[in-house]
Amino acid sequence: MPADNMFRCAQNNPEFLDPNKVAETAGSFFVGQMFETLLVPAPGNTPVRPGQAERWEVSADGLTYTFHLRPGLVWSDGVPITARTFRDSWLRGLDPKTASRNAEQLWYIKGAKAFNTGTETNPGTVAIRAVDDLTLEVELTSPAAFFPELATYTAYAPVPLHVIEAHGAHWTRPENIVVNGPFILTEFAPRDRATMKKNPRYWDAANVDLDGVIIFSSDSESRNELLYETGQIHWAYPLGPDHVATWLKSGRSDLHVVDNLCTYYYVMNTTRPPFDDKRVRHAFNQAIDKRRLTTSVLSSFQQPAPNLLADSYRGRIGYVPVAGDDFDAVAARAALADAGYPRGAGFPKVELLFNTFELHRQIADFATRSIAENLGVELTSSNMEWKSLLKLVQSGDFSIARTSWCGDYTDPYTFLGVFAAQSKNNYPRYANPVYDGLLDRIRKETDNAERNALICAAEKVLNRDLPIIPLYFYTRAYLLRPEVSGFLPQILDDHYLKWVSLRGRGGE
Amino acid sequence: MLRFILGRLVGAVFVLWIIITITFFLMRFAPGGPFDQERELPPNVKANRWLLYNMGVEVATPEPAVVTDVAKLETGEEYPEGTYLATATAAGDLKLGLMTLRDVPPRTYRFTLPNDGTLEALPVTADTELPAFGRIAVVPKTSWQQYLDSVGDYMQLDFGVTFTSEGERTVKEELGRAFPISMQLGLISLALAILIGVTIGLVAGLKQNTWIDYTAMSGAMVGISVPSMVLGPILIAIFVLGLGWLPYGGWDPSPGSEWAAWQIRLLPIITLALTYAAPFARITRGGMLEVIRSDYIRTARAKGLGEGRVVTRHALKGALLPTVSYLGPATARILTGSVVVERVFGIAGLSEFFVTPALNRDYPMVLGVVVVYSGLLILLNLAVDIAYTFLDPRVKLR
Repeated sequence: MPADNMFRCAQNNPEFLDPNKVAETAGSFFVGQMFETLLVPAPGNTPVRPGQAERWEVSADGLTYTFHLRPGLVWSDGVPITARTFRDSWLRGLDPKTASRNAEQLWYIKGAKAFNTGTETNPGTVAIRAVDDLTLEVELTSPAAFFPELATYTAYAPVPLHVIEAHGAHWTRPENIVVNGPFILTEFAPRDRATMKKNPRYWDAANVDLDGVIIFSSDSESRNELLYETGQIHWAYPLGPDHVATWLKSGRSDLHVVDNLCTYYYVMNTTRPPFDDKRVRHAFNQAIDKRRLTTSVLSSFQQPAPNLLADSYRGRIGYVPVAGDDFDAVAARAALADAGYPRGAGFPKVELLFNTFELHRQIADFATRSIAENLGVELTSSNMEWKSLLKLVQSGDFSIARTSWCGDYTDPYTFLGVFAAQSKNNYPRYANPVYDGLLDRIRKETDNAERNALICAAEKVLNRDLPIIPLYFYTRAYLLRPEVSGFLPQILDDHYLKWVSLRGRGGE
Repeated sequence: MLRFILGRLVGAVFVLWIIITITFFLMRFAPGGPFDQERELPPNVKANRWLLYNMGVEVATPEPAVVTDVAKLETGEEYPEGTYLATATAAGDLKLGLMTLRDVPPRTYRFTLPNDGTLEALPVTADTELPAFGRIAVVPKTSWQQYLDSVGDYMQLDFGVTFTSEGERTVKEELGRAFPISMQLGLISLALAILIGVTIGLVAGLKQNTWIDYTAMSGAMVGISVPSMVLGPILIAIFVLGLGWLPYGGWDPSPGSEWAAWQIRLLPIITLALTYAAPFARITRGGMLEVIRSDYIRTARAKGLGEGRVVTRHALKGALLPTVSYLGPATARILTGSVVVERVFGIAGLSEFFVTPALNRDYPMVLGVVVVYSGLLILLNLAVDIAYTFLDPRVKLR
């Protein structure tokens, strides 16, 4: 490892770097180091911290957020940053002509949706006001307790409009780019390597320990491991599951396993026989031993999922998830018999769909075997390309299929909202007015304890109706060299290298 | 000869047009579109993307109006041209450019689908107040319309920007950066493969059924059977991880000595060369066996020529003919990058573009790659035909 003070890591190739448009992990990582939002993610899953804004307040009705910018903020070319910069940047993200895939993340703001969908053409109708140079006022459509967290996302980053005007689509290239965050892109060879150097004009440059970042492009686990083992990177993620299992057994000290905000599940079409019958859904859910799945098929570092919301919520917001029914072959058989299929007799032909991937195939094999053994129902399973699978589940032309959900933000609503009757991601076509009513109240409730009680009630409804079979909660396993300090687990993987230093144990 | 080459080039343009057309429509027939993604976008956000790449049509109201009625249609479903969408009425002054007409009676607009296609967005409900140019609906243009829009640019080899880069990079830039890397890797490996393969093949052919022949052909057999997918990781395991002699990763290392660069390039070159050397050896051996028994070689020997001169002057040319035929397509393949070698060694070459853009339905990029590959094939086949005239006196190009 070269002795310079540069943090090295591997990421997928970011296809584009415009903060208004970036919607995938690698791009968010790049943009996260270069463009600082009003608030920033703090290390170790602690509450968000001030970034470009030094403080903020929210009105009593939870609808209006006022952000106070730090005085004297500038872009890396010296041009000042004001509240108007933020307003215009967000409006650019919403402009139909920008056609940002990420625009929906701004729809929490009043008037944003109409402007973005083109039914309103005047940007002045969007409720973002630059009260003065340092004060930005935002009005929301409905209270959203998680808005400060949203304000840390790339969709809420400022963009240098003066540079965009001068260089068009080429403004993100190293020779043109202008940033407001701790690091600035100096070299970029797509699909190969990128270099960022410290931005001396960043407001908190004195507290940025690294001199820069080198990011290798890698889209394979084995390449990440090779780069790490040959001493070329400090942080390697993701890793091959087989290797992680071996290293867990051998107790490798630079291996870290942390929570990830994703749940892996099977969706069942609740509008089509046989899964329109709740008892059949329960029978299937109870016939699969999820604990055995995580130990025998997966590599033991994932958590079995008895319900939708992960147990990590307990530590972060004090919400205790409600576990659904445990594995119980006898109860499963009884439920199926109750539904009119004793020992699986007369059960229609059902196909379990999953997208082509070795792990999904292994899990599907395990599931079909469990169902056959415990219920006497022979499922066929078949794989297809992801986009084709998506087409089927979206159109409702399926019985049971594999999907997953990863949180957009850390609040449980990001998971619960998926199964709202009107949600476009509600593949099971689940519709329960009681559940939808609870969701409405969760959105509006500002008291934390009260809100947790509502979330609990919603999860109970979900466990009872069971439109999905939750299988396991994702975790992330990564390798991190011992000399790195300040690099703590982030549940959304939004690592901010501002806090990172290479002067830890074993370094200089 | 010149006329022959010109004729072939004219033919090539025609062939490219056919290829572009077929590729264009094949991609449109593949299920799923370029803007589908794992997490479904809201219909209007997706609609914006069709418009961004000029592949969609927006139905909009010409002046401020209030929607009075909306048809019961599902976004994401296909509807025929002329399907009724919505009605809107406008009252008050009528603005025509700079001119304003006062006291005009209310106008009623009836909007219909401008062409067959999937309804991507219909964001209005009854009572929606729309400003001038407010959106009623968005529908993608038909494949045929899209084809007519772009085939002119495509024939001038202008494929525009890639969808995956959100317009930050053009197809030309992507290919322009990746192709030289694959070409460099390919040319060096090819030269090495020919050197090794042809030498072994010739020697084995001349010493048929001796231990030299058996050793060489067993070696070639192993070379053909062990794919680069296996050879690459084995070499990495031995020389990078095991012995630590060579560095790993990429093609152009961080700025440093030329020597460091070649250390990194050594393993991918060897991996690629060995996989191609094997077929070269077998084909050359076959060519040599055939030629060495032919009448003109017997004649040459009968004239009293030494064995060395017989081989170099007479047999070699003929023996290489099959190798040269194989060289054309092989070169096209090796120059456009080996998917496996580039993946195993993390080289940012061309090969990835043969797979990923097709999966992402990145239409412009797919077309660019297909054209580059077919163009290379056409050119190299032409080069092979020309090379024949030098190697085989019986071949004349007209």
